[in-house]
This record gives sequence, structure tokens and C-alpha cells, in this order.
Amino acid sequence: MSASFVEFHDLRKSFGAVEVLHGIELAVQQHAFVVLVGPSGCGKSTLLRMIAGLESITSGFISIGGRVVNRIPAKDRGIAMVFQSYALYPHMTVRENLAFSLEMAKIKKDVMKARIERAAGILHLEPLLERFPAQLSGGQRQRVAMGRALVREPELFLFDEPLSNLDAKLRVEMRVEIKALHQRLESTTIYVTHDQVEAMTMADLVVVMNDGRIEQSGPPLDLYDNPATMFVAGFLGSPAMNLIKGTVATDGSAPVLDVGDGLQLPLPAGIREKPGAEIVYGLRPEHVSIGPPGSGLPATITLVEAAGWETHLYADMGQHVARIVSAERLNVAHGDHVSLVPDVSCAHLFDATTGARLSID
Amino acid sequence: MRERGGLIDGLHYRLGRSVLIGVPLAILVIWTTIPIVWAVLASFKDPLEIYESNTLLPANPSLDAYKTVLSMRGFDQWLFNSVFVTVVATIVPLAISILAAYGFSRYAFRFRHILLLLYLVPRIIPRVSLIVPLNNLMSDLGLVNTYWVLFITYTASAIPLATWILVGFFGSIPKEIEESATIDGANMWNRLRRVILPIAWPGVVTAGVLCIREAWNEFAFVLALINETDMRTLPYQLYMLKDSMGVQDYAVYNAFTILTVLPLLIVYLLLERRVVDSIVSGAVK
Amino acid sequence: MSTTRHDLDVLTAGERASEFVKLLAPYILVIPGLAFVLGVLGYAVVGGVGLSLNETDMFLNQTFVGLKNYVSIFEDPRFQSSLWKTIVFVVSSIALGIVMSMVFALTLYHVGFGRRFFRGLSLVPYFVSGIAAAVMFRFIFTTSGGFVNYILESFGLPAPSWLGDPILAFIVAVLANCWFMVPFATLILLGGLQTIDRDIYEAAKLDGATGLKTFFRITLPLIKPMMGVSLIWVSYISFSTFDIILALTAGGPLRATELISVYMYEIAFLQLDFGQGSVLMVVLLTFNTVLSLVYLKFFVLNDRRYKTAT
Repeated sequence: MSASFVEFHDLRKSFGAVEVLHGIELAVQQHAFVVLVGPSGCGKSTLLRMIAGLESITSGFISIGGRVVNRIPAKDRGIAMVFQSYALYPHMTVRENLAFSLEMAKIKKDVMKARIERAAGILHLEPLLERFPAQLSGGQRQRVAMGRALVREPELFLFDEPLSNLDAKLRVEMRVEIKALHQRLESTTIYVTHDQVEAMTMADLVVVMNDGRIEQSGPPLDLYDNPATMFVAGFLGSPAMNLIKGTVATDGSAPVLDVGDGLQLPLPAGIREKPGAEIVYGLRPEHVSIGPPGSGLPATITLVEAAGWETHLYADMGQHVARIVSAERLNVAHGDHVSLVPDVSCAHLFDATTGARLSID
Repeated sequence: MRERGGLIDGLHYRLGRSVLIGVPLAILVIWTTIPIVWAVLASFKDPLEIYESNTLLPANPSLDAYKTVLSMRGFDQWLFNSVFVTVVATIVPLAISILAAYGFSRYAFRFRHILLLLYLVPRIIPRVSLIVPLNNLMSDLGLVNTYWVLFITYTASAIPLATWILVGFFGSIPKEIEESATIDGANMWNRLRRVILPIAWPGVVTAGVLCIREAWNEFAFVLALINETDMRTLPYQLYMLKDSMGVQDYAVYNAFTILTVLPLLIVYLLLERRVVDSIVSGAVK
Repeated sequence: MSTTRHDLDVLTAGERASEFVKLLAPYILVIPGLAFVLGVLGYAVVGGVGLSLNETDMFLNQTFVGLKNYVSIFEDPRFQSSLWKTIVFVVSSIALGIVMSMVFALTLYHVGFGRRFFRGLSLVPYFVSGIAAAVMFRFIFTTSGGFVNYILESFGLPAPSWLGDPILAFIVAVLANCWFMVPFATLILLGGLQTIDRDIYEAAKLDGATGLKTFFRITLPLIKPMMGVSLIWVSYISFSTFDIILALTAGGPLRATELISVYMYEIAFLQLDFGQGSVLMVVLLTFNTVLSLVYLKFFVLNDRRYKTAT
């Protein structure tokens, strides 16, 4: 395996005077499935379009397969892209849609035919080849869009939010299908989404972006368990991590976090911050449990969502809202007074001003 | 209220509705067709029948008037002029407008707004108001009484209309489709020819039909810029008939009218669906 | 990495040329059309204004005379009368034309059968040339043997000389003009009606609105932009009406239908006074532009939906 297949170095993009990407650095291994995830406007789609050659590069460079592609036109970059809207050619049949790029590349007729048949076979498109896009369902269009990428036999697949136009059920099915396809073809893939569930479930490498920068990149569970910033902590996971701001204090010898209303959260013993420091205390909803009365922090249940496989609770705790996830079916209702017990060993601490993760001894 | 009376009120309502729609619909049909139908009927009548007898339908329908028109000295030439000028003044502005509309709908560039405005403002200039200065200019250039003068002026007045229609159609094609074609390796020419034009084809047809209409029916420019008999177009000649025809020629006069109108109506009939859809959808304004 | 950053900042001559072409592409696409529009139409407008400030003698020599042509035109009683006729013609054409268009559009919207056919049929006059329309109307309104008088006589009514009487001829001219311009306006308005969500009518019905109230409170406000476009179209056509009048009445009888456009043709091409003819061109142009801008302001641009959309 080569060092890295796709590389970005100090990559910047400006639209007029506004810089939207601020020096992106990233290396992607060959055969990896990389998901760029972040809120809308974070620059992830712009980054993908720069890889594709649809947006110019303001400064820095992108290399694909060891070749700097800054000045190489889109068609010669060895990439294929699946668009959010699929961008199928409405006036061409599925077969013609698949054939178009090969025709443009002046590929021989018999090679073309073989490639189309192979792609159609992989994606089960054979019965649809003579239809027009308007005659297809959403999922079928999605597969045609993938087929159109497939026939080009690219070294790098680019996906731009490909599932966001599908309904919830189909989205899950296609998610599995895309992942299975990747495992079969082993082609390097860069996938953009705003959906953290897609990021967590599909990626080998998740790249969380915010405001034109990479917040953190790494394997999905690494990011989930050890978010480097408050943003990543809050972005990954659903329901989102509880993030509570407070002031470090001591209760006897043990460090605690004063969160107002006379409430105090226990802090890990190894905390380096001195009393009086402002920090943010992060705890995943699954690390909060309901204990016997008086055993923890008093709270009032405001909403119970019984999802079936687990239960989501929302509770007012002073001025804060606590999110709790339990694998059990809890017998609580709106208005109940409960006692919340945080699992301190799972707490994440962040600097209140920079948002950076604070290490614990 | 309708529930109370049940069947009777329901009937009243339906009757009222059909009267409310039926009467204006009948007026619409009569109003639209009568002038044409009357001209067709008159063209089949005996010369004196039109003038003297009070009949609706021709007593002895005959095609003599049409034969007379077709054998009229110069008719072939006028027909040729009309067709020739229309073909050129459709293809040339259409080609120019396709390029311009592609530029306007696909590129962001400096002065885009001002240039687009310059393209569109001429649409509210009454054509007839331009004939005096145009006549002056074209005489100076020595172009009066040539096909060139009609090509140039018709093309110029068709471009704003065609460009406007096409900008709308091109603009409604998602940008991603063209980006996808770019990645697929299509250069600008291929994207235009293989992707944009086929998708926007209804718009191209509509713009084309409207160019044909402008050129075929044009009168003010040809009147001001052409004065040789051999260079006249059909509408011009139809206008000139007024002075040369007596009462006995009314059938011929009407037959001539029908023959000038018919070719364009056939074009319209063939492409009616696209044209009407485009206008109703607001793509032409 | 074989390529250093330094390499990337230096463009080859070929790359620089292709960047340049890319930058120029939109202009290259747009300029041919612009050349025609500005070279012919733009020149005509500017040249016309120039002509209106000059006097042209018998040998086509031009002398600058300032506003002299304007003064003599505005003092010309024949111009004043043709200006009034034009205003009456335009106003009555717009009034009649827009009402007819609205009624026809509503009819086509509600018609239950053969909608495509009637829609297609309604546009036919749009494709008949002004000259042909005028000739057809002449034969409809000829005193003896005309369709209208045939109908009147069969009911025992008097058969007037439509084109011989100044007022009647004026009315016929307005009708012919409407016949020609109403179809397009009808389809524009029909388009407006079709964009209205039918749920809105249901909601209005539940709110207790009935027939006419629904039309004035719901339908009309919602099609305001299309109304504006139709108004621009009908006044543009009415102001520029030339071929219809020339072939229908040639300005007669007794100059009853001598609109500015007809008078302009007469002055410029029969009296060969280009200066005064151009003054009339400027008048026509100004009227039409001002009216169009007023419509745009009140109907299209003032519409909040358009403002948020752009």
C-alpha cells in the first residue's frame, strides 16, 4: 500500500474576499472510505468539488495517486462523482446515461458494452437499461447515478450527500448497499454528508469539518470516544452529548463543577484545572442513569421518547436540560422528579473558551 | 346551501356553470375563427357573389381564386422571398441567441446584468418607431432593396426575444447536470449540443417558432426598407393588393390572404403543444 | 511529492492562454448578439434622436436645428389630434383587451372538455400577420357582403357603413387590434391562473368567500405579475399598431384613425421629412417606455414575492 492516495496540503479556497477553506491538511489511504461530515456551510461540499475539479483551488494543492491535480481538468483526474440530485441526463435512457462518459472518452464500442454490462450487473440495473430517469424510483435513480460513476472505472469515487433525497427507509438500504459496494470494489471513496449516522456507520475515516477547518479526523469510534473538541463532541452522537458549562470548585478534597442553582457535578480526580477555571463538562446521554432518590442530581422529567429499543429522556436540571438514553424501558413520566447519576469515568472536559479537550491525569 | 335543495339545486348549479363557461367559450371560438373562416368562404365564392348576394356559404365553391393567385406574376418570387428571409432570420438569430443564452445562464461575469438588460430592453421598443432612422442608415450603407437589410434587421429584432426565452429554459436546467457532463469529459461544445440543447429543446422550438412568426409576418421594416416589386415579401404584397384590386377580385384578394397566413399556421399547428405550453408556463414574456 | 509549491504558482504559456479563454468565454458567447442588438436597434434609437434634432433638405443634407422639429410638431394640429386619437386608441384597446383576455383566460381555465384544443385555437390570431388580420376585418365589416352587416340585416337591423364612418371605423380598428393581441395576453393570464394552488380556493370557500369575491380578493392579487406582463404586451402592441391601421383604414376616413405611427410614416416616407418623423419616433418610444416601466414597477417588481425570489 502506498503512503497515501489522496493528499491535501494547505488547501485554501476563497470566493471573492471571503475565505471558506482555511488550510486543509489531510491524507487518505488507498481503498479507504472517508466521510467528510459537518453542518451545512462548513466547506465539505466545496472541498469535494475541488477534488472533482469543479471548483478552482485558490492555494495549496491536491494530489491524487501521487499526481498533483490542481491544473488537471475534471475528466482527467480519474474520479467519478455521484451528486445529491443524481444529475442524471433526463433525455437519455439509463444505458445512454452510462455510455455518455465512455463516448466522450472515445472508448471502443465493445469495451463500452462490456463496461456498461458489468456496472449494470453489479447494481442490478439490467431491467432498467432502456428506461428514462423520469420512469425510475428514487432508489433506482440513485443506483443509476452510481452506475454512471462505476463505468468510468475511477480510482476515486466522490459522493456528495447522495442519500439526502431519499426517504428514511430507503436511505438505510442504500447506505448498506454503498458500503457493500465499497467492500467489494475496494475503490477509494470520499463521501460528503451532514448526517452523523452515515458518517459513523460507513466510514473508515471520519473527517469532521466546521467553519472551513478540519476539527478532527480519525476512525469513527475514536472520534466518538475521544472527541478532540467540544464541536466534535456535540456533533457526533444522537441524542447529542450533554455539555454543561460551569466553574471548577472543591467539595472537601474532591473536585466538583459548580453549574449554578446550587448544583454540583463530581469531576474526575485527575483534573488539572485549578478551582475557579471555567470548563465545559461533557457526558454522553448513555452515561447518565437514574438512581435511587437522593443519590444524585435532582431533575424533573420533561419528555419521554420511547423508541422501542431504547428510551430517551429529557429532564430539567436547574437551568440545564439533561439528555438521558437508557437501554431499558424506564417507568417514568412527564413531571416525575428523579435523581440523575453521571458516570464520572466517562466524562469529557473541554476548555470553555477554546473548546479544546482537557486532558486528565 | 346546495345540500338543502339536493338534486334540483345540483342541476341548477350545473346548468348555471355550463352557461357561465359555455357562453364565453362560444364567444371565444366565434371571435377567434370568424375573420379567418369568412376569408376562406369568400375565397371560394364567385367574384360577384361576395359583393351582391347575401349568402353565408359560397353557392358554387371553386378554387379559381387560388389558381389565379398561384399563377399571379411575381407570386413565386414573393413566396420565395418570404421563405428565404424567414429561414435565414430564424436560423441565424436562434444560433446567436443559443450562444448568448448559454453565456448568460451559465457564467457569472462582470457586466452580466447590464449586458442582459441591453439585450432585453429593446423588446419594449416599438418596431415601427425605428423605421425612419433605419431607413436612413440602410440607405447610407447601400443596403436598401437587398436581402441583407431584411436579414440584419429581422435578426436584430428576433435576438432579444429568443435570448430571453432561452435564458429561462437554460437557467432551469440544474447546474449539477452540466457539472456531471464536465466530469464525464464533455467540453463546452459537447455539453451544449448533447446535454443542454436536448433538455431545453421545447424552449428552442418555441423560440424558433416565434422567430419564424416575427420574420414571416413582419411589415414595418420591409415597407420602409424595400421598394422594388421583386423584393417584396408576402405581407407587403398583400398590403399592395389594396390599390391594385377592384371589387371583382375580392375572392382572389381573400385567397391571397389565406395563402400568406396558411404556411405559418401549419408551422404553428405542428408545434402547437410546445408553443402553448411555453407561453402558459410563463417562459415567454 | 515530486511537485513543489513553487511549480504550481508558475503557469505555462499554454495554461495562461487557456485561463484567459476561460475568462473571456462568456463575453465571446454574448457579444455577437449584442453587436446586432446595439448595432441595429441601439443605433436606430440614437440615430433617430439625432435625426429629430436635424433638418433634412431635399438633397438629404442635414443641418442641426436643435428642438425646432419638436416645436413645430407639437404646434401641428394634425399631430395634436393624432396624439389624442392614439391615447384614446391605446386606452380603449387596453381596457377592452385586458377584460377580454381575463374572461377568455378564466373560460379556458374552467372549461371541462377539450381544454388543449381550445387553448391551441385561442392562440391562432397571434400567428396571423397584422396585414392579413386587417384585410380579414375589412371583409367582415364591408358594407355590402360583410359578415357583420349580413347578420344585422338578417335581423332586420340597419347596415351601417362601418369603415366609412369615422367613429365606427375607429371602433373597428380597436376590435381588429384586440383580435390580434388578446390571444397572447389570454395565455399569459391563463398561465397565472394555473399557478394558483387549488387548495387556496378550497380554503377561501371554507372562509365563506363566493364567486366574485374570490376573484377580486384571491385570484386577481395572485396573478398580479402576469397581469403586469399582459398589460405591457397589450399597450406595447397598441402603441406600435401600424400595419393593422395602414391596411384597414390607412388612417381614414377623414383621418379618424390616423395614429401617431401612421402619421409618422406619412411624414417621413411620403413627405420625406425625416426630422419631424423622428420626433414622432421619440414620442412613441417615450410613451411606450414610460408606460412599460410604470407597469413593471406596479405589477411585477413591487410584488414582494419577486423581491424575495431574487
